[in-house]
Formats: sequence, structure tokens, C-alpha cells
Amino acid sequence: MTLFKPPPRPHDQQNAYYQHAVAGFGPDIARFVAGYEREPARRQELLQEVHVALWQSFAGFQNQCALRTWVYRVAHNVGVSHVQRSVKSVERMGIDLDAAQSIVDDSADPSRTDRRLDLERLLALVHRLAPLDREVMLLYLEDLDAASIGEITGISARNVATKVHRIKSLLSQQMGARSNTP
Amino acid sequence: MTEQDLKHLWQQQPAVATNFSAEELYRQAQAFQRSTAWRNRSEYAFGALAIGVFTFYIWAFPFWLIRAGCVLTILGTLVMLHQMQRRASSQTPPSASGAMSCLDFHRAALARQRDALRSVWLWYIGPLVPGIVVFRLGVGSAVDIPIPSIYGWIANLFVASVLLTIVVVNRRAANRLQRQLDQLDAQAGRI
Repeated sequence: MTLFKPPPRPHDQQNAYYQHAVAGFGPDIARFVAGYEREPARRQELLQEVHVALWQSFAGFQNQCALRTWVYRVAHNVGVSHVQRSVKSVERMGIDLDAAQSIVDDSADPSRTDRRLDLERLLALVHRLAPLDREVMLLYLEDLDAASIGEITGISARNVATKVHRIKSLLSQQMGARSNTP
Repeated sequence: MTEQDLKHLWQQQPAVATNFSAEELYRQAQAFQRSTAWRNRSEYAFGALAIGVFTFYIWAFPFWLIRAGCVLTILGTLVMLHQMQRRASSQTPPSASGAMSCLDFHRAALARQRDALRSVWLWYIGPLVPGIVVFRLGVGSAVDIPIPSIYGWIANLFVASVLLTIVVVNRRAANRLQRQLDQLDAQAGRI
């Protein structure tokens, strides 16, 4: 019975994929991590964990999907695992979009807030959501289309469209966001 | 503020792209695996302690029924440890999850934990029961051990209640995970 099996030594292709991923999606990964951990020190640890998982994952990457899809999936799956093991079960479940909408936010007037406060409120909103809704919200904020969100999360395109509609409504209520189209 | 402003706010937040060298990543991967191995070690240490104690009993007690109970308990502990290792190694680490959608990964992790907790009576408690029962019978029938029978029954009741509590607590945890799975399915529009 082996208690400690050292990880396999990296190979060139694995390192090349990792460098490519970090060059293309490094800031995206850092933002996702912010969506899963609020506390700065733990956030840094989680970021490190995501990078290690990503690098290890490329040992098995054979272009099964687009590089971005692969990177986002690994980042979100590490994030969800982190949430699962680090918070109490009540918090772990998070609240769904309906419940989030029912929370009254007295400071929803955008004229009273600056960018930093807006970002803090947005992060607080993200952190209240259940894992799947949180993933969709984060990918929506990254400006991904419904098809890409569906491919990464595994939710049907129809459900993604429904969720995005509700996310827009939630953001409108909680952040005072209005639709781009007049 | 428009939707686009919000997306812009999100995308423009201070987020430094970190880039680790291959050597550093390898070192960190080793560190993560060492910490996992350390957690496993504590479980194996508990198993080794139980095996050590019952091996001592085989030597210390001359009664064949007690000795048979000890042998069965040791075998049961080995089966239990093997099951723990098998279940721990069957999980998909996030590093192997790039080919899975987030929903499938999350669902599989919850379902695996739920099934493990729900079947604790079979793979954790079950292998130990024959040994414990035979051992207790052996202690009860050993004429050279001067213990009043009421104490024997209290001990039996205590052991049974500990085992039952483990089953009930794990069953409750499994039900909690099932509720999370139901919530996940509802969010995904599967139910």
C-alpha cells in the first residue's frame, strides 16, 4: 500500500500547454479564484492550487476541447472543491438566484458608490450564490456566450439562457444594472 | 450602470496573472500529495493500532473463541482499510477534470461521497461486526475471567450503540448530500 506516490515528472508538451494557458487566460483564472475565495491569503493559496491542477491536467490534454474550455473547467472544478471542503454545509449550499433576488440591498443606488465598492458588492453577490449559479454568473461576467457557458458548465443552452436572463434581472435589482439595449 | 459596465468592472478588477515555473509547480504538486498522504497515514495509524491491540489479545488470552474474534477483527480491519483506500483513489481529482463539465464533476463528487456515507454499514462497520461479536461471545464465555454478566451486557450495549451511532450519523450526512444533489439538479434544470 503506497502512502506517497510522487507526481510524474513534467514533460515538454505539458509545460508548453501550461505556458500557453497562462499567457492566454492567466487574469481570467485570477478573477475566477476571486469568485470562490474572499480572504486574500486563502485566495492566493487557491490560485496556487488552481495552477498546480491546471499544470497537472495538461498531462492528459489531447485537444478534446478548446484550450479555454479546458482551462475554465479545471479552474471552476478546483473552485467548487475548495468551497465544498472549506465552508460549513449550510453556507456550502449557497442560495439560488430566486433567494438572492429577495435580499434587499439598501446601497443599490450606484450614485453612492465608487468602483471599488461596486466590485465588492458584486463579489459579495457572487459569493452568496450556489455553485452552479456562481459558475454561470462568473462566465457571464467574462462575457462568454450561452453556448460556451453551456459547454463549460454542462447545462443545456436553454437553461443557460434562462439563467442568464435571471442573472441580468438580479444584477439590475442588486447593482442597479440596466440592459445595454434601449 | 449598464450590463456592459458591470462586465467591464469585473474584467478590469486588479487580477495579476501568476506564472509558476515547471519546477515550482512540480514541488507544489509533491507538497499537495504529501499532505494527502499525511491524512491517509492517520487513518492507517488507527488501523495499525487496532491490529496491534488485537494481536496482543491473541497472545494474552488463551481462549480459542476470543482468539478467533481477534483474528476476525484483524481481518475486518484490513478489509475496512482496503475499502477506504479504494474509495479514496476512485475520486476524480480536479487536475483530471478538464474533460468533464463542471456540472458532471460536481455531481460525481457529491454522489460518490453520498454513496460512501450511505453504505458505511457495509464497508466500514460490516467487516468489523463478525470479529466484535465473536470476541464479545468469547469474553462472555471465558470462565476464567471473573466479570459479572451485567458488565458484559453493558459493554455489548455500548459497542452496539457506538456502531449504530456511526451508521446513523453517516446516514444523515448522506441525506444532506442528497439534498445538495437535488438542489444541483434543480439548478441545472434536470428535475
